[in-house]
Amino acid sequence: MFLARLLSFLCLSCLAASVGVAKQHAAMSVAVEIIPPTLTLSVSSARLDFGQIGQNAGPVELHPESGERSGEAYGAHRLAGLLLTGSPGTQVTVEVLPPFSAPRSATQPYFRHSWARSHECTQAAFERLPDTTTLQDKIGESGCTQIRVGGTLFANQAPQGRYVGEMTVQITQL
Amino acid sequence: MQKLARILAATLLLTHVSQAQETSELALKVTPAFKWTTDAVPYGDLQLRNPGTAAAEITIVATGIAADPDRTDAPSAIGDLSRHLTVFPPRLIIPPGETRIVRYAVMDPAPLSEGGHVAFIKLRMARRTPVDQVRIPDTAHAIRINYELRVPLILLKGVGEPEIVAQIASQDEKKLILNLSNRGNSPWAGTVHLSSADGLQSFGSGAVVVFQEGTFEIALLAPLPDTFQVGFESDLDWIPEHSLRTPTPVLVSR
Repeated sequence: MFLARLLSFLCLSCLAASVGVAKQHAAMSVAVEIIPPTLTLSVSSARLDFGQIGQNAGPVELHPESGERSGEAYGAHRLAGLLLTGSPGTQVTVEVLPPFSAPRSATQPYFRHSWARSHECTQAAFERLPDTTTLQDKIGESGCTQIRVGGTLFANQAPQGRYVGEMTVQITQL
Repeated sequence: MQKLARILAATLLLTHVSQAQETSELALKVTPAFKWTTDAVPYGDLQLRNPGTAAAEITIVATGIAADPDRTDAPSAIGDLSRHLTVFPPRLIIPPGETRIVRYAVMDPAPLSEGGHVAFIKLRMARRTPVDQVRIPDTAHAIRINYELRVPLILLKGVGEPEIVAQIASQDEKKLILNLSNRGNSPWAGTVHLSSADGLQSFGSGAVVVFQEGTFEIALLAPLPDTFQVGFESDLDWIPEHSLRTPTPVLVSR
């Protein structure tokens, strides 16, 4: 009987001691979670479409700040658009690798890109950006940066036909 | 008449499918979007999530950092990690709302020289379109846009020693544009602080990542004196500790 009581006392003491140690550990440990950087790219259009252009039409421009088209062309047109979402203030670099290598020859179409930016997540006014191929920007306070890509197509002396090109847009968190 | 109705229905269906593809959203989320590691952990993974409404086809390639033609001290230059990097799978399809893991490993990092080695993991995304639904406008002048998210992966072997030179590119009342060039053997990331020569007054700061050379804009809190100090504070949340030396402050004169 005495032995059983002694054993139960010892067990309770061990339990109390282990709980104490556990509490001490709980009090000492500090949980630090570092959230890795993330970047989300959403594409509203992956095609830049000038519509139908006549053989002797002048330059046709897709205006990135308004989304409108100017010049002698008809039919539907489309600009390219992307939305970057991440933590506000995150630095991003956007680089455009344009198609159609320069210098242009007289009989080949020539394309020059242009772009505009907004720091809103939804429909907003776009601000025209300088005509460079690299943009260093920060994700806006809203957590978004929108970029709309347009450009001018010079196809004045080019033979009539259908021209299809490719352009790459690279986005890096830097 | 019945044949005409069938053709009409097929045309309407094709138009509907085409419009649905244009309105569905192509999207990609990558975690992490930037990665520092050491030769003790020469492997890892990227989490790719498709938060859009269209299936995304992802093609992955890795490229290195372009060599700086002005550098003659090539042995201490930043290394090209892409030649040692294996990424798997190199191509995958992510249905809307789903997540996939892409793994990378640096094969045999032992021969790598001391310092930083860089690879850009390029994730090119395209809309997944079944062949029978491809429709190209007959006479349109169209330019297809390829979108790529680039994930910089920097592996530090031993201790990276960036050596940064600062020059004023331009300046006005509100901002200073600094040209930072790195002559060391490793990229550097952190915060650049502009302060008085004695370090007591702050004029502004900004977060930057410098590989070989870059131009950075810093908003000014107050007019800059003729001579000021450019100080560096390493971003130790992300850079493995004790693997990267913080550049010493430099004095810049206007």
